[in-house]
Amino acid sequence: MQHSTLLWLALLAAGVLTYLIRTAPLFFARRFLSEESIVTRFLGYASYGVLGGLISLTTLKLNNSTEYGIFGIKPGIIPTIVALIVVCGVTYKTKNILICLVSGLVVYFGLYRMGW
Amino acid sequence: MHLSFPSKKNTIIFLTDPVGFTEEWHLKNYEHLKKKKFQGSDYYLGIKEGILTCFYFIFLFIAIGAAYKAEGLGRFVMTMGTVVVYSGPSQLGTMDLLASGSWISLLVTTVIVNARFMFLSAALLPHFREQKKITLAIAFQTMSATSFALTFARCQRYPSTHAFSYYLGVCSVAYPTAILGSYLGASAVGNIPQSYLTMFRMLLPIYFTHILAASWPQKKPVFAGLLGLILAPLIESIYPNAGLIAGATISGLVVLYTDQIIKKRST
Repeated sequence: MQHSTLLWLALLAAGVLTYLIRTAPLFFARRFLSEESIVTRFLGYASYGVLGGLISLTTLKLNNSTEYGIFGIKPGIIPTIVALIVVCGVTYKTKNILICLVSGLVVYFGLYRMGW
Repeated sequence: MHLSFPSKKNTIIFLTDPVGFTEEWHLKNYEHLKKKKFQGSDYYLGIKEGILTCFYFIFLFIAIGAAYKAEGLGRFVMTMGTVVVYSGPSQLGTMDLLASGSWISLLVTTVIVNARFMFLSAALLPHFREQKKITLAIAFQTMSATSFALTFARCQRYPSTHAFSYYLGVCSVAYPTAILGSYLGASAVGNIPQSYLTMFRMLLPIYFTHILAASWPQKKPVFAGLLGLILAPLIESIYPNAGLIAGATISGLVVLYTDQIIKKRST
């Protein structure tokens, strides 16, 4: 079989597997879940744990995959700083998110273009 | 102000509703709305609140599309990848496996990285109980961290929100934007400097931080997120690829246990 055909098949298989993961609770767990149940509360908290994990893992992956930084600091520090500014913006006033994000990126980009 | 709903055991704290509905409105419409299949106002609210996602998604998926192109994969492979998989971290993590033809590793990695979707779908299911199974089976293709976090946070704050309509609203802006970004990234790779693409990839952790921070001022979700943030890399360093799910499970259990203790003490 040709490489391109296998590639499409692999992509399709990845899609189908992801879809099955997404819909698995629908077919196996729906009857056990209600808004008040302890399982639902656990799943809700665990989902936020997933978000937290994604933040740290994507930041660390950035550190391992990019080859330049500022003042010799790994580049993952940049999204960390910007993310902290975003948190302050969101928790203080939602309207500040875009201002914080854009200013953080502009500062980073300015420093990077200046050769730092 | 505290209001107790007849159908809910816990007390719900109402915050400022961006739509402008009053607390009395929420109380009156809670049971009525939960029986409906669709609510237009909540759908449009989902679109409105999901628009910020477009800002992140367009740049993120441009970066992912460009990375795919750099690996020698075509623009249609990338675009179809987003249509069928629709998971930024998974697509970024598996593109080298796809390009090199390591099919088995690709499928195993996809399952491990995307296992998180089971938590997200299961946590939202009770809020979609009025919908048919077939409707949900179609709608869950667009399940992402964004659609979960926005819908779940909204339902926690404003229980009378028609969750499914709101979810559809968020997805109807996020999903097409991701597909468009992928196509643009894979098409315009030669014209985008590498420094821009790297900067776009930095949006991923910022973006996840933003959706976690959106759950503020609810302390328990933020605490669970912080626990996951600390635990995931620690576990990952010991058991590679298990950090995300194990960290999330432990943080969920810890917050649930703490919550139970606090409730017992207060009663």
